[in-house]
Amino acid sequence: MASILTLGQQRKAGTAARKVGGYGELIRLETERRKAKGQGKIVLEASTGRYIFQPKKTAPAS
Amino acid sequence: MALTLGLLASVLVLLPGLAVLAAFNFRTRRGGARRPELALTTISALVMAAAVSIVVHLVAWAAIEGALAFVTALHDAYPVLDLGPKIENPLTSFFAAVAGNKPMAFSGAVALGMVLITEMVALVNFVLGETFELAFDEYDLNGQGWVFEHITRPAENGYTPVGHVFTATMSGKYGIAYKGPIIDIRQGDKGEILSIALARPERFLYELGTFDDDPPKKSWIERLLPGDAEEAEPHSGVRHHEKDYAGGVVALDARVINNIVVRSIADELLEQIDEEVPDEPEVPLA
Repeated sequence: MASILTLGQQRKAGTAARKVGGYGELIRLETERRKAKGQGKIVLEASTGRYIFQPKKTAPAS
Repeated sequence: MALTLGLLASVLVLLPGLAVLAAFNFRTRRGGARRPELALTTISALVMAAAVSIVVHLVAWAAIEGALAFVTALHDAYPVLDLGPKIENPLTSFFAAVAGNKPMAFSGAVALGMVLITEMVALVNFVLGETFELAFDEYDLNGQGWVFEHITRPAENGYTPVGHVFTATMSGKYGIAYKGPIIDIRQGDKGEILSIALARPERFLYELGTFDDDPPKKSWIERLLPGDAEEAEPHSGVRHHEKDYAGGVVALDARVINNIVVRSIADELLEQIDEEVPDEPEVPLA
């Protein structure tokens, strides 16, 4: 048998999922984070009440 | 040399190789889902132990020769520095003793012990280190198949695999599904899934069938963007119903599993949520 995640990792994943409203939301945030190449922060979107991963503002490539 | 002493001597000769095997088995057992007790077969283990031992002894012998030559030259240049008589290369005298020619001096035996310990520490560090990890990055050493690519490797490299496990439908239409980080997955001899365990999962009802009352589920961003309105068309699919947190660990046997979907979430994102998202107020469940 293999224990894949430690207790700490399980707790972290579970807490993060509860904070943002479920594992589905977590997966969506991860997709957004990958699109933004990991640069950005998590903000609460007022209109929908959901957390989104907002990409860091970069200077437009002229 | 007596037989028992000969055995002890050969174990000592092979000690670095055995240390590599022990370290290797330790690391593969950690990620092994299938028959972890057979990380390496006996013959390949013997070959590997002997080969690694020969190479490491050679390198250590060369290093000791160099060090001895260096301190001798230092003593010749500065005769004031005198820390006692020069010892023979412990590996040379050890192999001479194993071959039965002459007994080892006490200082040589102590030096040999130190050399062997140094060799083992270096090898174990190498096997457990990141260099070795990178060298064998793409090799599925335990024959885990897709579990290796989608669960084991991501979990060992800073991702948390989140599994959606759909259990068999009771009525042919409705079924219970769980969604949560995969903490344990077991495979049989042929690589088939035996069981899967999820930590702190969400439990929800899913429905298979034909729906004609609403358009296909779009992602939230598509819903925000203005677009042509979809006409309601009957379509078949899966629909998720209300979810709740089951908590603890849920272990599911292969008999009840219909389907498994795995997505990986970067631990960095979890850290970021941990730091940036406040505990309260909690977002109500969708």
